[in-house]
Amino acid sequence: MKVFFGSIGNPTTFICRRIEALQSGGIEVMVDWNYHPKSLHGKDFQLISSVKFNLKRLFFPWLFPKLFLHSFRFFRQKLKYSPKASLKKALFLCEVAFRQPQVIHVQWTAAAMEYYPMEKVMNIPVIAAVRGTQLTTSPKISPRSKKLLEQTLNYIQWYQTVSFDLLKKLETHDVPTKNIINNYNGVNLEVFKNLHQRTFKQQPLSMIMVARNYWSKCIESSFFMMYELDQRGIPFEFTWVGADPKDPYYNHLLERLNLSSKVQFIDRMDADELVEAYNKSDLIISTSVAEGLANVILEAMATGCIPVVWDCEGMKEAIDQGISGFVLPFGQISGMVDTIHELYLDPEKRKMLSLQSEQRVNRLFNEKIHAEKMIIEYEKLFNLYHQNSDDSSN
Amino acid sequence: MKPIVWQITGQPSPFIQQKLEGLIQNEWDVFLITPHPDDYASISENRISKKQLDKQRWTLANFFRIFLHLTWVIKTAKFYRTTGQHDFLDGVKIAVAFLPLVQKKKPQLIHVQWLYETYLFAPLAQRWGIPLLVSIRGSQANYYLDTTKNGKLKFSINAPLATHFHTVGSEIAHRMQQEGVPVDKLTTLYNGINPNIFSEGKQELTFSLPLKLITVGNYHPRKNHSASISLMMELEKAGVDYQWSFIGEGEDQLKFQYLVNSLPISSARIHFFQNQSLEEMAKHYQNSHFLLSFSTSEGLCNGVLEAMACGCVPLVFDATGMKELIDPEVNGSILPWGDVLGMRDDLLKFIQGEKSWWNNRKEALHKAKKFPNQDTSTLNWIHLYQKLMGGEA
Repeated sequence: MKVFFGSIGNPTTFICRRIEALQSGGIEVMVDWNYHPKSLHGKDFQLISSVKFNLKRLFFPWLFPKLFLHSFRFFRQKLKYSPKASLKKALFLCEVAFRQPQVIHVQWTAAAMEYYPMEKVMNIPVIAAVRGTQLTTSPKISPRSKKLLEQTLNYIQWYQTVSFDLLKKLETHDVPTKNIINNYNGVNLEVFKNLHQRTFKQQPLSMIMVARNYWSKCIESSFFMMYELDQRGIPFEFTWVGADPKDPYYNHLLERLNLSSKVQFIDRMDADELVEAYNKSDLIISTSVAEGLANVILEAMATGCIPVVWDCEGMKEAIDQGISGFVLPFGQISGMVDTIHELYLDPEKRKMLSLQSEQRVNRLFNEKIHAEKMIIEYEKLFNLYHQNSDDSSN
Repeated sequence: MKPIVWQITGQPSPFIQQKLEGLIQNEWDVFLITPHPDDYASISENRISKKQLDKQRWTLANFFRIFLHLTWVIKTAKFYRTTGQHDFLDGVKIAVAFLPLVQKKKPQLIHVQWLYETYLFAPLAQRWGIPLLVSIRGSQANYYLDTTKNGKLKFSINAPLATHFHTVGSEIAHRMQQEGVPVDKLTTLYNGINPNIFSEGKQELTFSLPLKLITVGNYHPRKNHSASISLMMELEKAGVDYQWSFIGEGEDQLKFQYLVNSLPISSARIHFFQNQSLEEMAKHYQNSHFLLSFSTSEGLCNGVLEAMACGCVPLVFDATGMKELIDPEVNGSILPWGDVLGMRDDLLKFIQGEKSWWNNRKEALHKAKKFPNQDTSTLNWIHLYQKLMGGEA
C-alpha cells in the first residue's frame, strides 16, 4: 500500500512518529515537505515538495493532461488562487499522480481541499486528518480559518479524527459518521514507559505541564491554581516544558504570585528527556481549553504520571475519571486544587492511580495497534474506490 | 497671545479628549500630532497625522530651512539611528518633516502622551529650547517594562530625554523613582472624572440576586481576563446567581469569548458590549453591584473611580494605583494579584451579609467625590504647563 502524506508542514514529532509507525506496518511512505526538510533527515520517506519547483515537473502534465487542466481550473475558479499559484499546484499534483499513491492522507485539515482533483480525476481517496485547532478554536477566532474549514468540508469526503470528541464535532458540520475514521495517535510504548521504581511518599509533589505558550493552553490559569496550592501550604514543584526560561511576561507573573522558586521553565526536551521528566513527576497538569486528544497526557500516563486536567476534547477518552486520573470542569481552580491536595495527602491513592494510568495507556493507546488499524482503513478505502471504478467499468 | 502646546497622542481615549477640550476652553492653542486625526475632529481643527507631516516634507521653502539647519538635521538623524528605531536616511526624513512644523507652529511646550515616542521630539525640544513634558499613564512605566524583552531598553532611551513627567497617580510616580527618575521631575495629577456624568443615578439599585457584575477593559493580556473565566466557574460551583457584563474591545476578544463559551454555564449570564460612551458607561455602573478588575498593571484605573462615583463597589486584584483609590474593607476590596478564590470568597461574604454592600457603596461614593474632578484636573495641567514654560501664560 502506497500512501501520500500531504501538508505535514514543519512536521511535529508525533506526525513523524505516526508516519514511521505506519511505515513499519508495511506502508510505502511518500510525504510532501514544505519548510524544514532537516526534521525529516534520517527518515526513509520519499519526498515531494509542494512549494519547490523543479524543471522536470513540466514533463508531468503531458502524462496527466486531464488532471492538469482540471486542477488548474479548480485552483483558479473554485479556490481563487492566482494564476501562478494555480499553475504551481497543478504541476505538483501531476507529479504526485506520477508517483501513483493509492491513498492520500492530508495531515493539515485546511489544506486537504488542494488534493480534491486527485480524487475527482484520478479516483484516489483523499483523507483529511482532523487533529484539533482547525476544527475547534481557529474557525471561531479567525474568519480565514473558518472559510478554509468550510472549503475543506465542501470538497473532502473522508476524515480521520484523533478522538471521538472531534468525531462528534465533525458530525455537527454534517459530515456523515460513515465517512469519519476515528484513529488515535497512540503512544510509542517502547519509548514512553515507566523507567524507575516510583516512590509514593508524602513529599513535595512534582508536577509537569507540557504546552506551548498559546492562548488556548490557559497558562495563567495554571499559575492561579498553583497560587492556591501555595496558600494551602501544599509543598510542590512545577515544571513547564515549552516555555522560554527568560520569558519576561510569565516570569513577571510568577514573581507577582511569589512562585518563582517553585516553578521551572524548560524550553524544549527531546523524547528521552521528556520520558525522564515524566518519570520524575507525580502529576501532569493541563488547563487547556481545546485539544484533539492531548498526546502529552497519554505519554505521561504511559510512564505512570497521573493526569489532573481540565475537560476538553479527548480528555475523557484518555482518562477514566478517578481511576487513571482526574478530568475537572474547564475553568474550575478549586476542583483541581482539591484533587491535588487529596493526592498529596494520600500516597497510596497516588500509587494506585499511577499504576492504573500506565495500564490504561498500555491497553488502549498502543501506537503500533492504532497504526495497524489505520492501515486496515487505508485498504478498505482503496478497495472501495477500486470496487466502485470496477463496477462503473463493468 | 495664546500659549501654544503640541500634544502628541495615540489612540484617542475619552479622558485625553476631555483634557484637550478643557485646554481649548481655557484659551490654549493646542496642536495635535496624532496617527488618528479624524478621531479628534470634534475637538480641534488644529491637528496633523505623521503621514500628512511626511507629505509636507519636500517643498521649496523647506529646502531653505534644511539648508539653514543642515547641521541639526544630520545630528538629529544620527541620534534617531542610535535609538535603534530608524536608519540614518529614515532619520533625515523625520527631521526634515518636523522643520516646517516647528517654524510655523512654534510650540512653547511639547506634551507627549506616550513615553516611547519621546525620542522623536527630543531633538526639537533641545534645539529650540522647548520644555518636553511626558505623561506616564501606566503600561509604559510598568507593564511593558516588566513583561517585554525591549521594554526596559525603550524606557532607558526615552525617559532621560524628558524635561518633566506627569504621572496619573502617586504609585506610578513612585515606580518612576525606582526606575531612576528624580523626584523633582515628577508631578502627579489625577485625571479626574466628570461628576455630571458619573454619579449615583436616579434609580437606586437594590442589593439582591442576581448579583450584577461588570468588568471594563480592552481584551489584552494586561487586563488578565483569563482570571474571570475561573471566577465564573467558581461562582457557578458555589451556586451564586449572577449576571456579568464585559465592556471592551480588542484583538483577543474572540479568544476570550471562546473560553467563556467553553464553560459549562448558561450563556445568559454573560453579556458582551463594545466600547460605550461615557453616559452609557455611567448607566452600566449604576446598574451593577460590583466592578471586578483583574488587571496585571494600571497607572491609576479611571474605570474604578468612575464605578465608585456611580455607587458600584470595586473588587480588584492589586495593581498600581488601586491603593490610592480603594480603602480595603471600607469602600471595596483589593486582593493579591491572581487570588481568584479570594475574590469568590469576598463576593460570598457580601451575599451572606458578612460584609455590607450598602456601607461599601456609601463609602465608595464618598471617596469618589473627594477626588479632584475633571475641571480641577485640567486647571492642574495648566498650572504645570505654566510652571514648565517659566511662569508665562
